Amino acid sequence: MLDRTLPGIQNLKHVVVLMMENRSFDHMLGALHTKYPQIDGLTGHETNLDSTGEPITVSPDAEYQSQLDPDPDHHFPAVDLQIFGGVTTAQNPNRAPNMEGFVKSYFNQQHSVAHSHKILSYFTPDKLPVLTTLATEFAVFNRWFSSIPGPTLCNRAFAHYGTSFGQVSMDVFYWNKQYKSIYERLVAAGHSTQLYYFDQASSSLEVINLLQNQPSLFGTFQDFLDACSRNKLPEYSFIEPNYTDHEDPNGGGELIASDQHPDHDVRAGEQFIVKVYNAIRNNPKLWPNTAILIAYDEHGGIYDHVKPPACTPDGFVAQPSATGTPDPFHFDRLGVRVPAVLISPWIARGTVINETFEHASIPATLTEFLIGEYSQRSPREIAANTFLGYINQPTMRSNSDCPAFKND
Amino acid sequence: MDAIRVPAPPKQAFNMQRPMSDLIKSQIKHLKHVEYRLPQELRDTLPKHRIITENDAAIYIAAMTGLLLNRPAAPKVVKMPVKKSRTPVSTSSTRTLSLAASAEKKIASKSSRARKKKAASKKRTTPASVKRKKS
Repeated sequence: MLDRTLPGIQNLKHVVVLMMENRSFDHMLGALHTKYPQIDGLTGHETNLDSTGEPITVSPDAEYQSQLDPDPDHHFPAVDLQIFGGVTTAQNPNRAPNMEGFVKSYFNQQHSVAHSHKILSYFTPDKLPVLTTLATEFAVFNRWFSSIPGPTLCNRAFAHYGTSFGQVSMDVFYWNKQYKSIYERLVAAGHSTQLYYFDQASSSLEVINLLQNQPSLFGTFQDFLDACSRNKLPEYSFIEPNYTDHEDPNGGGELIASDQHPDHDVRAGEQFIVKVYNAIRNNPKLWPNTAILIAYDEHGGIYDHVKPPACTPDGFVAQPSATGTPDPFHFDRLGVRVPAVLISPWIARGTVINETFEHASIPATLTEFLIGEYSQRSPREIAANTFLGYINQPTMRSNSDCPAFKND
Repeated sequence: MDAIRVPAPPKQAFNMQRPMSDLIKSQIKHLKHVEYRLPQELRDTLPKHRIITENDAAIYIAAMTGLLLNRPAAPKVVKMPVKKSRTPVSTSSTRTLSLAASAEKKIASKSSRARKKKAASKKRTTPASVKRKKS
């Protein structure tokens, strides 16, 4: 239950969620463990066996681009292999995650032993000044998992609906099923909300339901920036980065992808995070009353050492024909861990959150904060932890006490 | 606290000829699914190029998104007889969300249509703060 007597909550008027693409926690933030032992990152000794049986150690040599090409497989069967280490036939019902199948999975794509080792690469903090600074200056989640051991669209569905309606793939063709999106709930309850895609040429990944049927919910990233500058930010904003390198259809030049999806340059994503952060941070009318959550939709096939835990079943079952594995999936286990950072001047520096979260925590949090009692939600969302309670400092941090960024 | 400088990607990081990822292929697949439900006269306005690269995808996605934002009615409407009148046809489908239905009512007014067109034109404007000049 959210403590509404907290000063930060009494001031809170806006929640902004930025969902990036396809990077694991250890890949982006794992190196922070050396300096901040309370962050559950890498010791540097974690290994996976490669296809020749050689143990390969994680390596701090992640590159901004061109290293993870081809795009590491993160469809359900591949993630099953990554998590369970290779038991994909005649499965033992008592099998347990061991996080030892990442190299084998990446080998399957090109059959190059040397290239398969790159899936164990991770960034040093100096290469990701934005994400690592925000993680250590505000709150980082040690246990934020993707909702499904599978690809983007079913995972993003959990952020919008608290469920993927039984889907474990990219074929998410649902519409007006029993659970409403968080946006529809908020509008019905008289609250303001907007999904901001980057531009029309990048658009939204939430096509089948929301873009098709609720176009009024959408705006561009420029609309987000304008809303911030005019102090017209909705109570809840969900931001999608630019998913493609493309020419601006209006002749404005090159627009580089900022989603950090391999093989897009990670630096463009860092700069995009800065744009979102600065739009809030540099507006004294927004900064004291806005919380920003940065989360990644799924791990993108990249190594993480934390075993995804079991979770409340979702009430759906994906049959083997859908999972691509010998077994059905009961939505009773989370996907691989992803980076997630919560930002507010009411959060203590160096906060590390150890409770378990997943993307259903997003609609769960917004529902708790803005709507209250609301029963028509998935079992997963009802069971999901909410995160605004970490905005819990008795006084607001001063401007000089909060990080500032400047894009080159 | 001094501002932390954040490096930009180099020019060569941009590659709009990069083949589409599975993610973008799925986005296209979903948009095609929606496109096939649209009236032929709307579909005729869409670009017909082969979609191989990220920029190919962006051109189609921009057109489809613009069409979805600006079309006069929800796709359910196309299952009903098409009237020659320019007045948008309303739907009585119980599956249509109340929000969409209220949006249709607004669109039915001529002045509202004009406002929406103006707003859509604004949306097409490229975010100035995210542009990178062509080299």
